[in-house]
Amino acid sequence: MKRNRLGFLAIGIGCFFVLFLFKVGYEQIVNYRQNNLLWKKRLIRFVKIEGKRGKILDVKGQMLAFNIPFYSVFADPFTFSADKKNLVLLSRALGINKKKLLSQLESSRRFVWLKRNVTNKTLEKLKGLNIRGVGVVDGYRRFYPEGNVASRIIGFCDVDNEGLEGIEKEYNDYLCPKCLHIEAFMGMKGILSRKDDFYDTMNGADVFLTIDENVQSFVRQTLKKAVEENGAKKALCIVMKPEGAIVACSTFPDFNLNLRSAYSYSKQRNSAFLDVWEPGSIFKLVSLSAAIGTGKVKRDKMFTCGSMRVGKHIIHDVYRYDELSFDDVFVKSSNIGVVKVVFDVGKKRFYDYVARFGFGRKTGVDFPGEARGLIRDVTSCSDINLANMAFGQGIAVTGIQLCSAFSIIANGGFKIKPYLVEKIVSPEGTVLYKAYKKKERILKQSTTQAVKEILEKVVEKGTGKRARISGFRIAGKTGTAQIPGKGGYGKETVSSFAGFFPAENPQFVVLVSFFEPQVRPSYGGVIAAPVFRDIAQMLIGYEGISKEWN
Amino acid sequence: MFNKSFDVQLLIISVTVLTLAGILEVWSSSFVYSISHKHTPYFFIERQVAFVVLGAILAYLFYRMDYNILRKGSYFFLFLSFFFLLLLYFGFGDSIRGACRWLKIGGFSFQPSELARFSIILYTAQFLAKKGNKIINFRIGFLPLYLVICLFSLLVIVEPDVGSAILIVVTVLTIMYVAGARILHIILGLSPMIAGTIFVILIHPSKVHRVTQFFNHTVIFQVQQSLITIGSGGLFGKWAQGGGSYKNLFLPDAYNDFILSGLGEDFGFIGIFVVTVAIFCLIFSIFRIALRVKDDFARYVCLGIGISIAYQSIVNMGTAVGLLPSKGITLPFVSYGGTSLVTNFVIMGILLSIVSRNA
Repeated sequence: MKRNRLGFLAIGIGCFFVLFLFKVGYEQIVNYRQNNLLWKKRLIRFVKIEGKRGKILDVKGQMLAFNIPFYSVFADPFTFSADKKNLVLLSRALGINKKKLLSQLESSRRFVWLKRNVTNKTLEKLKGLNIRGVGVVDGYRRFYPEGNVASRIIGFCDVDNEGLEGIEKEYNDYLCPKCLHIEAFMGMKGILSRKDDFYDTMNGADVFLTIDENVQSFVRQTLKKAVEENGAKKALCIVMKPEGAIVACSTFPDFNLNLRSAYSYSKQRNSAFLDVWEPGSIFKLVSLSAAIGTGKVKRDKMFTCGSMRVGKHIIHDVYRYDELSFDDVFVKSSNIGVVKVVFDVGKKRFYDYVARFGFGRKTGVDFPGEARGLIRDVTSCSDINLANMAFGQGIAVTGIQLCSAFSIIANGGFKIKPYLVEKIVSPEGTVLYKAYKKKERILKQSTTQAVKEILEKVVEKGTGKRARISGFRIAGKTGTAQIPGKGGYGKETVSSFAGFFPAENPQFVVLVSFFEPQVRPSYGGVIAAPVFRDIAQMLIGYEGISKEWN
Repeated sequence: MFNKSFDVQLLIISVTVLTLAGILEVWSSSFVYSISHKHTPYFFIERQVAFVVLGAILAYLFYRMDYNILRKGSYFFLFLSFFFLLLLYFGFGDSIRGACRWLKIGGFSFQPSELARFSIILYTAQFLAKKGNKIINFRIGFLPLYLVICLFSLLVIVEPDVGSAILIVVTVLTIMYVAGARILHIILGLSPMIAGTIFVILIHPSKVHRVTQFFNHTVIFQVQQSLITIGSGGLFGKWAQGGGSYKNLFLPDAYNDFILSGLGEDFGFIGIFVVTVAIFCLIFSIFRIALRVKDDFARYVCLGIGISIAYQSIVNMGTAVGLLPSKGITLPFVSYGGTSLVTNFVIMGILLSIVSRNA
């Protein structure tokens, strides 16, 4: 063995080691910043942490909307090999046509939704297939446990869980979950492990409605039953507290929120807030209040109600009355009488009262897209127009406007803002929002007292007799409006009853309207008043309202 | 100034340092891969520790055994590894990433090329010791050994593992060079490889990478990732931040072939320096033992072991930083890998046996 050759070899090896250390040192010390930057760039990710959308609950805390898991399937057309076997497997698992699947996959993007909202079963199938380039995103989806009940109030969300309608839209900012963008180190699976209590604080706030689910579903059942009997095309009912909280608001026909794609948009509108219609005699409430409030008409005045002409037009009454007292004009709901009353009040003062009651303006209810109603401008209002308005024709209002008008009488003269949301509570439990109860006196106490008396008489012995419940003082007004069609008013009507009870200390204001009932006579007193009575009876039992003393 | 016990101490300390660094770094580099592929973080580290223990026991047994048995035993090992390579050639092996380098016997799988390395070192030492001064003779001292080596290389080439084949030839030629063979013969021995390379470049300049498998896409990617991994360690490494995670996510084979990169990320330049010095000390002490030993066969065995470990380390280190074309070879004592670990421990046992019997 040659020692010097071994020496050369050792030196050679040593040289390489030194070279290696130089290279490593260069990368680690000289080039450190650049290498570390690349290192960071690939390891640090911006991660979005998002909670879940807040729940919607009724006034007693019963859930009306919450979240359930939701899975969506996507594909990466770049890595997915669209051969026949894969396509068949995928189309069978997802239940999508092969051709449609192919067209979805013909994209230059790296991310294509194949199907959103797949069931657990499909998910299991997909996992079993294990096809490259196909993945699942788990999210959540809104679920509405009550289905049809209060569906038009709650509204709904789109697939990305943004509110589109109803409370979901109006309070979207509160319901939306908080979102955190954090810089996170990419690590092995689970470094950003889900701590559920942390995620819970990221959730959106819970919205508590003023709606009482028990009342709401009772109202819905009652309406449904009534519609089956009278064949109305549409029905609505609002139950409200005199200070503005809406306890129930139901329209019929309704739709199931969980299957809403099966219904057309027009069926999903909330007609209590969004649709306007001619109210008919219910509107005489305004005429009555104006007459008493202004003091232009004495209560002992008598009105001859045989026949009446306004310009070229003849005003009709359902029954022919010769002479009616002021009270009886309203109790018997005489059109001629009320026209005479309003003429006595005068156009400007009448318009003032229409405005005070809030017609022609939004009530401010917390619901998106509320309608204002239609009122002829005061300058273009002729005598016949005024005469029509006196008994509620030639004017268009919303259900909620009517209901809040009655609540003004019920609460002793205060204009209120109806509201649907009682409070909003953050996931930590702090109250973020509380219903603001607006109170603005617009009528004198004495006026409302007098109006209340007359409305009580309507139920006692007038057109609203069928709303009577023995032992309770109930105030209300009927209405049968003709629906304008082609070439004037036809035979179809809107039959309504609005009222409140108990009259001495009103707890609930209720409006019931049926659109185009098919049974005759279609008077509000015949069709709507019994429904009012059923609902009032339920509320009396439910809330434990005691009989009057005497 | 240095005595025999100093060399042995240096040897043992170096091996200990390397083994411990290996256990630490295999753990750090493998647990993520282990979880995702084996559903437990301990798969690789458990095996690494088990193989270290097994290796240490075998090293002790070989240390107590008289190494002179290997003089005759070298033929046995040569035929055994020849047989195993043939088995691989006839398709009894396990294919990993297109190369058939593993043989499964019972529940164990091992790499015949490790055994081949071991047996070729023994055979070469035995051959050179037997020929003595005749190794300068081409026909008697050079050709027989060269032909045996070429036969082995061919079997390794068809695995296909061109790099290992070249490494075997170069190792043996280096041993012969140090033993005193003629430089002309050595160059002659290298010439088929040089000629082959030139031939390929001339005929198919664009296909060089295919023949050598050196510069294809994934390999370059791997070296880039390796440089980022090492470079991000800086001077002191990221161990204080709980270790670097880059190697776990972006560097394939971080726990065996690219273990140095992970080491650089975790322990920085200091860590790499310590390991490099330890390897050098190991080689240095083996060479010093080779110089001290009186018996020819034992000396050549020591020499072969030193050169083999040196070349393996050089290829592994060079690959990690892109100084050499990529070649998947383990870093002795550090990388994960049962066969290589056990073989290296056995080799150390033989070395100690040689030292203790050549006082």
